[in-house]
Amino acid sequence: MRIVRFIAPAALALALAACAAPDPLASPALYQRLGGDDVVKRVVAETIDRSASDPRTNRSFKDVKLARVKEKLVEQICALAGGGCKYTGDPMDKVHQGLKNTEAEMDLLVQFLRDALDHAGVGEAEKNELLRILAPMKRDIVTG
Amino acid sequence: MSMKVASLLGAALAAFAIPAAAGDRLIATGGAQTVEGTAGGGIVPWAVIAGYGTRDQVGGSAFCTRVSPDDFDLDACGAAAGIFNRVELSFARQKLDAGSVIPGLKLRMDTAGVKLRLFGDAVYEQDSFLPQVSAGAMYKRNLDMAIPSAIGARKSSDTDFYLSATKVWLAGFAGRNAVGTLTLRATRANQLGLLGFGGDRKDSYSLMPEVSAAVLLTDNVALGGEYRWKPDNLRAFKEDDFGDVFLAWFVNRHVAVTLAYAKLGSIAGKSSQDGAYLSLQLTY
Repeated sequence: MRIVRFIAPAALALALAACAAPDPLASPALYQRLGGDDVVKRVVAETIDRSASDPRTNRSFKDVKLARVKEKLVEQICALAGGGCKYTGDPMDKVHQGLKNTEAEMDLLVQFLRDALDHAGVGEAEKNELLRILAPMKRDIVTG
Repeated sequence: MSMKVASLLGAALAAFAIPAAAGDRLIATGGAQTVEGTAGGGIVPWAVIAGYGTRDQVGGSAFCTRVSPDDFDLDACGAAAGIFNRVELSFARQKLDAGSVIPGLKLRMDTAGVKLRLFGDAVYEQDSFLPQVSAGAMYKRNLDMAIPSAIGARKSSDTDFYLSATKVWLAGFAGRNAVGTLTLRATRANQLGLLGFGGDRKDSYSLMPEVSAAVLLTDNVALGGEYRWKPDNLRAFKEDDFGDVFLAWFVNRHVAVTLAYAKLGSIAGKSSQDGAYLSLQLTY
């Protein structure tokens, strides 16, 4: 009986702990599943370079330090996708203030991001999970 | 074809001729087109606006669909214009080859539709449970009423009204994007209107639910199914619900192909009408 009295609460505590904090090895953070720093840097670089050169989207990238944009975007994805970073850039609404970005520019950038994720060999699930996290930013980005 | 309908179709086609107005919305977000001409699945309207136009752009799409259940062929072709991702105008003609019921019998009808997006962004609002919601109307005119009238149909033309809610869940199903639609339609149509409107059993509007759900296997391939409840207004011919399973392939931003298997139930006295469905769509 004493053993049962000990085991039952312990098992319950273990079960609760398992629910609250899934085993990090069984389910690594999205950032790791995306491929970590290497892949995310590559994906961000392709997306930003393409956005800054395509005539349909380059308007709001003129006179912008692309290296800084890439650095802050990687940092932001790392922070949002459980990579353990802290985003040190300005809030998204402030970054895009006055740019009058259109829905078309937003959708094209998302298409470029999807393409870059595909080019980098990121899986469908990881791609879609990242887009789900980023999607609500449209409110702060599309101001036109 | 009435002047009103002709000018609507003209407007839709004219919009096609302006490449500068081509839309930039994400691929597949304009949906396929129903046999009635509006953006949706194959038989259920979705809350999305046809084509790829954003809120600053005009987009649109055109389609032809053939459904071949056991004893019939249904052909539908039409076009839709999406204006500022807010208003959709559509026109389609449906033709049912019913030679198996009466040799040579063809039943044709025209459908002119308008859809207004009321609120919501089905794709981007991932932090909200709210769907994109649209309201629509379809004015339908049957061009071959002799037989439908003889079997008890009351009217040759009528208007369907509907409310449609569509939501996309990114990574919503096993890591794949999922899309779901619930549509409520008020209708008096018999077999879409191909057998006229209203009947000897019921001559008033019925409020009918319709559902459509799909999983995006990739960004441009959707696998899904639909179910559309329908009224049963005519004593002479029992009418069943429509259902289908479909595979839609958005080949690129301009061409889409949908293959489906449709279960159409009893039509004009012929029971258990099942068959293939093929739709080709051009989008801009």
